[in-house]
Amino acid sequence: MNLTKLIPWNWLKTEEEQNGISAPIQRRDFQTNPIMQFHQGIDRMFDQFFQSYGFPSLLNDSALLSKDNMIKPNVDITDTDKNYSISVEIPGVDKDSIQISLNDGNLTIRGEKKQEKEEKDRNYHRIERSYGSFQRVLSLPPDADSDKIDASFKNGVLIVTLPKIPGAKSSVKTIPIH
Amino acid sequence: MVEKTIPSVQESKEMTAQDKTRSDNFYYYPPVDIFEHNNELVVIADVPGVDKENTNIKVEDNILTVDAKTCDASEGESICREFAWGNFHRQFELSDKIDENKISAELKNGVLTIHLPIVEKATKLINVKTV
Repeated sequence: MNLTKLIPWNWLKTEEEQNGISAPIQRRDFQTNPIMQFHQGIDRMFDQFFQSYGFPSLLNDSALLSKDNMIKPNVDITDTDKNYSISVEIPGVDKDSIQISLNDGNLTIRGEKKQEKEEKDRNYHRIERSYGSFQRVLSLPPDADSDKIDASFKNGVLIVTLPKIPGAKSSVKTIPIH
Repeated sequence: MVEKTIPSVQESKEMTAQDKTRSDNFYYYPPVDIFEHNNELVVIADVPGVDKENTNIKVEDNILTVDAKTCDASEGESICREFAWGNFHRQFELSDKIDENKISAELKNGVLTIHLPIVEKATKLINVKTV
């Protein structure tokens, strides 16, 4: 049984690294041991589950640790046979102020959510929305075709589509023995 | 502007509103900014993924109800889920000085702005008769 098949691709790898989550010294066998990898995968799964209900991340205290107070918009990633689709919730952002860049297998989505019009004589009853810069960094899996990225923005939701490289699925090479 | 999203059990009218939203599996309370400016009350709500056609705003018995349906465009298996496509629902009790007939709303980039004009109440002077 190949345990690595059970471990999903960690799209947030770069983000976690940037936040210094993997900064503590890790023993080598911790990373290579498939059981430990599976363990980490389960941890991540639980973490994502609780995060979807609004709990802060148990693996990374990014909300507490973030130095620059960047907004982290919510991201959904879906997987079909032909492509990956990334949806980002960024209401109130202009299409022109969104920047999507690709660098070394990392897809960076950033921009700024501006306050509509700032006027002083406003008598506020309630402020729940937040404004400011936002950024998300996603690590792309090896079978995502980074040359054919397509993005669309509609009703405050950015959808980035990444086609899969056909045939790349079989990244495990079997070597014949003569 | 009093939050009315969680209805009280006693009043049956709001129960129907609650029942209505319950029929959907779940719904979100969109974050809102509410302020008074130029004699109107402005409600700004973040409703990403909502179409103009699927937005429903109504005022009934001084209760402002915002209902918005999202259209899930994504297909396939979900790998990473930080938000779910759901419907938005929120209610506020208005003070009686809102001109209900002149309420306007606009939707842009997933942000809903509702303008509620405040009616200037004519102060009634009561004459005191001398006996």
